[in-house]
Amino acid sequence: MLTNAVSRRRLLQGGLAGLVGLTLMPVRRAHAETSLTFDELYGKISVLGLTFSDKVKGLDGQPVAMKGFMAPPLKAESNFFVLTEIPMALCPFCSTDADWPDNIVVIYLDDARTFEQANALIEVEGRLEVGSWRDPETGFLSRLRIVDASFGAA
Amino acid sequence: MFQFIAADLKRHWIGVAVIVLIVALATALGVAVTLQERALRLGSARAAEAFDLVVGAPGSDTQLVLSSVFLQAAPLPLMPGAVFADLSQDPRVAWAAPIGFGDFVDGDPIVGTTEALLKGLGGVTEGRGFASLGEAVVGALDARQIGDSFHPMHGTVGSQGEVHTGITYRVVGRMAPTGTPWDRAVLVPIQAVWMAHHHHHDDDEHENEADASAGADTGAPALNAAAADQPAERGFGEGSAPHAQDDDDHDDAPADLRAPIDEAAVTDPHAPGLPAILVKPQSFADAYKLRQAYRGDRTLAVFPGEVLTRLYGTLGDVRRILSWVAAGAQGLVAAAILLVVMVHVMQRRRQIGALRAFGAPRRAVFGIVWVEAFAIIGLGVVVGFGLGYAGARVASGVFTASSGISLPVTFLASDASSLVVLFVLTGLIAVIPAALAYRQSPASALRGG
Amino acid sequence: MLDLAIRDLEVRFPGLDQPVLAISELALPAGSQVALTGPSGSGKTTFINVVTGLEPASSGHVAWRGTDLEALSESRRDRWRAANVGLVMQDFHLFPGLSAIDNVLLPQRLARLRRLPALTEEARRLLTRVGILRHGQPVETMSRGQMQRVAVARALVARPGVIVADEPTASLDAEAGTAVADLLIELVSEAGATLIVASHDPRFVGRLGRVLRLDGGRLLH
Repeated sequence: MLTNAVSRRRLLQGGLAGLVGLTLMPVRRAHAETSLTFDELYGKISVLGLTFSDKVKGLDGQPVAMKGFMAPPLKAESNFFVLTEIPMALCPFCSTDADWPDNIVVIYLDDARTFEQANALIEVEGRLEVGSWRDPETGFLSRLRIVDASFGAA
Repeated sequence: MFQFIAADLKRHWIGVAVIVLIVALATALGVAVTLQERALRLGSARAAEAFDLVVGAPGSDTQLVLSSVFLQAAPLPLMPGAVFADLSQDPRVAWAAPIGFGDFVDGDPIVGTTEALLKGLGGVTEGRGFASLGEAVVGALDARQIGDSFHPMHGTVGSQGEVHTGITYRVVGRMAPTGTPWDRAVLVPIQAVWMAHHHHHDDDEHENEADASAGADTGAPALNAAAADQPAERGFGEGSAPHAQDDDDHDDAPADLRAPIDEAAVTDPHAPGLPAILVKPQSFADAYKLRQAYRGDRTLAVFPGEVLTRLYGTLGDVRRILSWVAAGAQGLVAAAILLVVMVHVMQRRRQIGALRAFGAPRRAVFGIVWVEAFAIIGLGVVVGFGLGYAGARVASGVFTASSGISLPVTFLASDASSLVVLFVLTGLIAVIPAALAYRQSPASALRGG
Repeated sequence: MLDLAIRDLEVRFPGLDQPVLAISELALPAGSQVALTGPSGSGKTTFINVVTGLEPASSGHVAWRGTDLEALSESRRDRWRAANVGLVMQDFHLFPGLSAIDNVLLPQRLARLRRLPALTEEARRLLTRVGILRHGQPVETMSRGQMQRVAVARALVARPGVIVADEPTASLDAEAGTAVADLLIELVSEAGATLIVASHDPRFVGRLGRVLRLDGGRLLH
């Protein structure tokens, strides 16, 4: 049940308990975004490890849409979360897979917020950023990001 | 028109004040619930800000986070000392710091750790970090001053704790404020905590000596087993320091405490057990890999963020229930006020009729009644926001005083839209008495009308 | 200075067989001063309501200088009344909390019909003329006679063509009543407006040019 509508509504109910919470914020819809799947992220596995696919390289800086699962949040209040291919909590065998979770995408939102976690497929829209970048606030490195993102039920 | 409204409100000021107060209280209820829930959420989230990944012995992840991040005293099982050695050599780890709790001084928790945690929590703003075993750094809100000395206690005051007479810490620095329970904590070198517990067992529980030396000989797994045998013991230390064999039964602790900190003792695979380790991963991917790698039979790795997020789900449910209660109260108040205003309008139909008889257009009459109703209810809403904010501040202050977690009571941008929605609703409600007045016949102003 | 022409007027209330007011023909020239008398329930209030446009007639025509009130919508009647009628009522209907001058100006302010500076000057002149010297005095602190004099000033301030008074002296003592009656007749005469006073008060009945007697909703000649 993790949907944009739900989380936004919750945020708004958070806005004011009681009478308010009736309106929904306008859901931002990007235009002309390219759909991207986890399978399309990487090309061949070279000696240096995973390399990005041509599609990903070509989409750097472009609006994209991706479906996936929200990983358990690293921070309780943050402007980012991690999108994974498989729901982490429901994946007892993943820990044996050496590659996992290399193919994660870090999603940056406009505002910091707290999350209410649920294992539902979500769709994220935003601008793709390719390449290593260290978040100055958390000190964490990421290789693939979707920034200025919004998300909702897939 | 506004002059007339002002005069009218002034004339009925007691009734106006009562209605404003009722509206304000009903609004304040909803506002306070929202703000308080948000404050708890944001406060706990910010208190956990510096804690990316916490590793502990298998057990309750919630308890691990409460004990390590929020320093809530609870008996925690220990991990083998080798875990820290592994982590500190892991390339995916930026830095790792042990968190050893279980001792107290005047009710404040003493945490055994290393220099890395001092830096990770924001650093020392006054004095310096600890350099020798007998030195301590206090949290920002701790009453102790630099230069003060104290004896640690095992267990809190009032419980069956006992003073560790063999050890004395001297305060050499103060931490930057963090808005977390760590502001009241006392940080000491983890090696000193290990030593204190070694002394403690040497002095009082001679039968433990065999265990201790056995632990030192056979390494970490044995230490963990010793801990598991006595789960009631808080947090620390059934294990012994590697130098256990060196200091015998005689109590010459002060001499030892002047010794510089032996950094290697912490990363020694045969180091004593630890209840929790704070880990700073290198990258997002590393964070998830480490979490995965250290979830197993020996250890439990958890993001404080995920535990808090789970708690917020519950908190959100509670807020939703309270919101419905608040909404019910607000609905009742709205209905009651509507009734009062309408009765008031009916009672004044002669006056309202007279306004029209003297030539006031219907829209002016409508406007007067609408503005009056809107002003009264709107003022109540605004006062209610203020009251709700003040109430949440007071409640947060009480909570902060008892827990050390500062709760930020803040309005968000979305609250402005809530306020706008409330005002629109107020405006719509005010239309009802205004329409009633609009329909009032001007003839009713005259005698017998 | 409006003339009144009433033709085939009937006012009926639901559930009553007889009309409460029935006037086949009545003409009042502009500037005439009329007293309206009759026992209680004879239709005086209905007459006033209808000629001031406060209440519509069931049928017929009520025309002031050619403007037929019965042909106007309710809000247009309100506007016409604000522009052309000054009302004085038995219960004054002053608004407590406001000063004398604010009370005089309130209807005009609400209707926003005239430019205010000229009106304010006229309001001060009239208040002084009716003997209210402290223009800023709150009306609730005044005697009943003073209140009715403020009401007279209010009725005249916009220079209406018609002044209609409904028992203006009935709730006053003799002395105050005389003062109000004198002022009303004097000021209306000065302004040259048409005056209709519903009253039994001999101070009016004897002094006004014409007396209309109502009984059972019909005029007696």
